[in-house]
Amino acid sequence: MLPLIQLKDIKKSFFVGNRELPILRGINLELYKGDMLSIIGASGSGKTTLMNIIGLMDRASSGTYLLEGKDVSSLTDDELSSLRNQYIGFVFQQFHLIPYATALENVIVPTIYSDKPLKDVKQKAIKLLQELNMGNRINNKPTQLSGGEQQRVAIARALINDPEIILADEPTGALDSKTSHEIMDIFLELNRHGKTVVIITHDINIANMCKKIVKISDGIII
Amino acid sequence: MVSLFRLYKLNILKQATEAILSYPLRSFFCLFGISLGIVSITLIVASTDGANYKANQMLSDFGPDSMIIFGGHEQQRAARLRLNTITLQDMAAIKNSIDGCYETIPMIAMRNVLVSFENNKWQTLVIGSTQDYFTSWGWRIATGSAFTEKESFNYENVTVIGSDVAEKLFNGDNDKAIGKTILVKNKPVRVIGVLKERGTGFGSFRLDDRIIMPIDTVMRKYLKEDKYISAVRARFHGDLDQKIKDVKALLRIRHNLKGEMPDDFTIRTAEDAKKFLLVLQGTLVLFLGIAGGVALIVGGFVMANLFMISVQERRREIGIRRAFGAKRGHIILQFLLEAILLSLAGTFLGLILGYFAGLVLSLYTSIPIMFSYKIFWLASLTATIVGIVAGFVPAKKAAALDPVEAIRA
Repeated sequence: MLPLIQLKDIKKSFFVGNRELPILRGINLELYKGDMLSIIGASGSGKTTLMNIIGLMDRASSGTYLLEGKDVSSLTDDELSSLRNQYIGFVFQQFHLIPYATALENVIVPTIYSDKPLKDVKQKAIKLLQELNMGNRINNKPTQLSGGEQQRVAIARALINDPEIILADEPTGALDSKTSHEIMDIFLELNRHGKTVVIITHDINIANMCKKIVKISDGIII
Repeated sequence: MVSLFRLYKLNILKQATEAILSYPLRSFFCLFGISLGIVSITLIVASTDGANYKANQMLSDFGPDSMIIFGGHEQQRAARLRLNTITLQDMAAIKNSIDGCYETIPMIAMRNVLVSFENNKWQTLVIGSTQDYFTSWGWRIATGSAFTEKESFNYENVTVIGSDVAEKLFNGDNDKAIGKTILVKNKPVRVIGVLKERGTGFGSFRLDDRIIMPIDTVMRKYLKEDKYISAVRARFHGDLDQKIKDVKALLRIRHNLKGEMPDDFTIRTAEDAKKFLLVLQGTLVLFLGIAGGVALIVGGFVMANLFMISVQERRREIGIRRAFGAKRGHIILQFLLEAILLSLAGTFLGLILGYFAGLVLSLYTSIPIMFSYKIFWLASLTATIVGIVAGFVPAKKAAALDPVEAIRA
């Protein structure tokens, strides 16, 4: 079976002045449809950089990234944007909602940049929010919502375009343990319904809830 | 590229509005700068249209083929010295010896004459002229009739009064006025007609504040005059500029003006009045053009600067949008849209302010003001251009942000 994402010897360096600073030093990773994968690592291990590359936000310095078998390394900025829109649903530690927009408006943000028909976009967003128990908060702004509620809105936003992959960067990092469990339950439930989920975390308890665990340390998978 | 329809369907205008409203003070400054510029544009267009309209109206009222010959030299007239140097014989000479002259009408004026009916008193302008005065100047009779040649020849005390005078003496009741005897400089005069209202003439001068009497009556009974008149209105076929020269030459000979001696008369055409009006309006346009241009440029710069700050503050939002698939073009479009929206809001405010400024201007100056939809479209177009120009650099900057860096901000 063709992996959804296949990373071959991915390297990434940053330059600090003239000094080359290697962050990723040859990552090989395969992600299959329906996976529930966690990438665990300490801060500075390179896991966020890896997430940015998987999420098509950043380009590798070298190596091959195949998305459904197609090499993405030579794609233009616009093409990468389109792929992000279609394939990736991000969930961030700090929720990253647009402060002046309501829950509903935040959820439909990805549809603005999509080519999919507009019919029923609002109904779909409301339905998603209802499924995440946010049905009565659709017109609230982020400041009027608790952390857990904001993360539910963020998850609805990640799902609105039916992406192949939910890519969550420390999704529970800013939440208390009870809310963390509720959010993780949502991810597990999504995975049970066939969604591919990747969770980046430094918390072994969170990682242990996932089917597969990949540990990254000092830029390589161990 | 994203379709505007899609943005519209997804309520992006509401979002842009929300974004603008989240920075009220900043938005207000942009708004204010732009609206000042729009006020200027509104006044420029309204006064240009008004002046042109007025000028054309004057041209047609006055008659594009006519001239008016006053006694006294230009400078004497400017000093309000009204010298009677034109005679009835001069008028006859013009009619008889200038080729193409098809009408001459004598006029004699008495200013600030007290007229009264019962207890109503009013000071007005009395014009003595012939029965042709009415048709030649395009005056219509609202009620009653004009006087006839016979009435003039018989020195009858009859008058046709302007609508302002009818208002003052008869409270605007024209039917009541007809046949009544009023006192004009203490002499009884019978009202035989009321003129149709014409409105303001040049400046705030009321054309309707006058009464017309037979010229023979005025000359003989009021002025004890049988030779000099105030002015002649003459109409011509053919090139009016050439006729002016001919009339000038004829009058100089008749008045024995030799060599360098200045004219003792003044010739005016509608073009002169039109020119004066356009010069007045031209000064206003120049002033407003400069002021408005400066206001728009300053407004644009303020806007560009504030959008720069906005882009800096909203880096995370830009990063988020990029993460969810926004292309650079989308980000540019979003910020341009916000800039245009803000500009248009400024335009709206400017149009309202401009409307009131126009009203004030037309009340307190002689500059005519005419509003039209053209102003709306022109202002909107200008605002859109200012919005695009001012928003472009910040929008480009926003789009160029690295999404990874932006989202971490």
